[in-house]
Amino acid sequence: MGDAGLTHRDRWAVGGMLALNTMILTLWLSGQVTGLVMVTLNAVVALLVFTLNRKSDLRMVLAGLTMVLGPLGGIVLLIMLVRPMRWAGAPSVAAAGEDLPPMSRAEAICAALVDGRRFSPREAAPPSFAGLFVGDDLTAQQRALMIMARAFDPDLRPALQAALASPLPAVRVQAAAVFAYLRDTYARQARDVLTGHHGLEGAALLAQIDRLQLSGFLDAQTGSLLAALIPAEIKSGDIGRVTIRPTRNGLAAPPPIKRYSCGGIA
Amino acid sequence: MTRDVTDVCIVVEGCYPYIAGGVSSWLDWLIRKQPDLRFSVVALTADDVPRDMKYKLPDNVVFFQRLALAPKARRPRATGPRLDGAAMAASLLDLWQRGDPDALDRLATLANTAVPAGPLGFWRGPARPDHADLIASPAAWTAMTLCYEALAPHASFSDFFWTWRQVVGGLFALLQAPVPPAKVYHAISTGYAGLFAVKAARAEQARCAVTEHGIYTNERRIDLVMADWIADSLPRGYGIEDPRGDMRDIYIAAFEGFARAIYASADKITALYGTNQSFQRTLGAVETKLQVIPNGIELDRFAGVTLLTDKPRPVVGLIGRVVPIKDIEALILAAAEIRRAVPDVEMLIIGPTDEDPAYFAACQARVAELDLGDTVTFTGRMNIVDVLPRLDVLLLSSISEAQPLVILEAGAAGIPCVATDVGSCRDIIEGAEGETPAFGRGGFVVPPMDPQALARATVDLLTDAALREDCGRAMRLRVETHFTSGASAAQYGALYAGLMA
Repeated sequence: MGDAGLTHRDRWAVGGMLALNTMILTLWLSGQVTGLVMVTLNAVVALLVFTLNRKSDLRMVLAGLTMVLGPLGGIVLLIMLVRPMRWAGAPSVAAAGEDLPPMSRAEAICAALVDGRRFSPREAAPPSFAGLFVGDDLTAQQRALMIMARAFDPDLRPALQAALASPLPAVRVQAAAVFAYLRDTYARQARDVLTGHHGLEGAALLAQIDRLQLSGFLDAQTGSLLAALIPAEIKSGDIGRVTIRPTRNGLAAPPPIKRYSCGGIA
Repeated sequence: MTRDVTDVCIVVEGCYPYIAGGVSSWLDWLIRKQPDLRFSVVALTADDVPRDMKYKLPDNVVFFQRLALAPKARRPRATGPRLDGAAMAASLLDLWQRGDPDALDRLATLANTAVPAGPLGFWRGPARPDHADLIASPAAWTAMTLCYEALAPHASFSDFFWTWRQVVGGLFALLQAPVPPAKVYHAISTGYAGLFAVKAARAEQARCAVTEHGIYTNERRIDLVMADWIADSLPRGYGIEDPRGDMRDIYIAAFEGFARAIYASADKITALYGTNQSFQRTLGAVETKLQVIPNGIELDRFAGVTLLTDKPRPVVGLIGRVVPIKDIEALILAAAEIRRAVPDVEMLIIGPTDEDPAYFAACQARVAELDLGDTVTFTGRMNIVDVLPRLDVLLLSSISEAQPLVILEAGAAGIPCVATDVGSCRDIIEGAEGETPAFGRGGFVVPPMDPQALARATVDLLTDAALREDCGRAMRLRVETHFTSGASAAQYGALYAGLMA
């Protein structure tokens, strides 16, 4: 449906319909009429348009749209009428891309992480925070404790112990809460694995068992029960363990890129 | 009830009179212990869902007001007042990032001043914005996006949207709430209650006091750090230097900003014990405003308690709920160590076991695993006056406490204590710094989550009757001198009198 085919009367009908729709919508949005009154008014308008000229396809569509979409019907029709013209003059997809504002550094990093084009620090080996808790940088210590709660790694256990013995009450209290949170979280996850309420299988389940056993928060009995879930061939190392421990620090510069060239690795 | 000028307006968030126990019980006690003063109470709740009162308001409470921080939302209207979103953002950021108390005044003015309507409301006269206008309008959108750019430009905007609505929605709810006139506004925490008290005191030219049992900002921080419902939208890994703000940081910054504004405006800031003042100092509380007022107990209740001497076994007791925060597991591990040195020891865990059945089951399993069935007993809830005479040592293994009443009650009965170094345990057991007269050691304080240290200290007391007696005497003297209900009530009475003078 294009604008070129509209008669003078059609243009008046569309314009009038839009005006009526806008008025009803405004009354409703401003709380002057209730939703029920708004729907009734639209039905009356649609009926009016329908009975005025049944031979006009456009006005039939208009009446139908108003019945179905209420006050949005006129707007939808306007979009339908305008779209073909807009498409005709629209720039190509490539050109439209060039109009986008340049990415900020943060957006570029985020996009790279989402696309998997950047090494994710989340997968890095944890730094040793233990020395941090000897000093008095409260902000850094609180941040480190937040990291321990959100991304705990067994290598962080000495740092957590150091935080528990901190002379700063703010650190000691938060460390105790983090410790309790981690202990409860790992205990709950171990219970889930032992009772089969985990939704994991294969390598994912083995990785979860490995992670729980390495956590240091489970008692020996629970650890033994978890170990019993690991198939014998994996225990004996026949098919290798699932590696879940990260091996490098993502905050450090990545290793130099190797290039395969004639005769070997350059 | 009439709405006239009361002596003290208590402002409390998320407890009295709808939640029983803890701070609510203390508030009920505080009001009843000041019978000559007339109180009003403003109770802040998360929403406006009807709630039952768990306390009958004392006779000297002459006005009660409930304030919902997230009232039922109305959909945005196109004819609302024309607000200045940029000005709103600037004031919000001053409060959020710097804790500027003047920003609170500017926001209160913005929230309560009639302004002309926008173009679609041309037929309306100037009107005061309502809550929806302040958090869901074109101006609010402008303010929100400006705050986003300042606070968390790298984080997910959709997460920020809800964070902003939650933080700012509560703020505007209290800024628009009516203020009951009073001579003193007494907030029982920082956060929204503290902001309401500060706003009211500034509006009414009255005085303002803040009492903190726990430290609200730190409790919020801990909750936020643990919250699994908050999405971490920034992959920050292990980088503590990363300056980008994510939702947890934004929430924490908001509550710290609130606390700074409250400490700057309050006339008096009290804590239950000295250690908690370090939190308050960190957020700008000046020394001249700080005061410690410990809680107290009714000594009469324990006057008739006589410790039994002809028991078949030495008894160590822990009085508390069987929940993770009490670290009952540490006590069980310690019990195994203690039994090696004192084979006939009996360890009683006295308190309800139904609050966390999974944890209780885990504790029972640990008792069985360590073959402690003859040593450790879960007694369930008991009357403390009945159980204290049986105890040789009271043990507390909690990982978090404020001022544990059970230690005061054991002290009143002359029972030595071993407790973890949390809350005010050190002050109660070893005496506050510069205690005069010095009563000496009332037991031992050990690091939290260290069963071996708990065991060593307990064994020292169990195997040395003279030490036990000395510690028990010191505990009793300290409690009778510093931790009585009467002394505590008198200090609050003096606080109010000083502020009303």
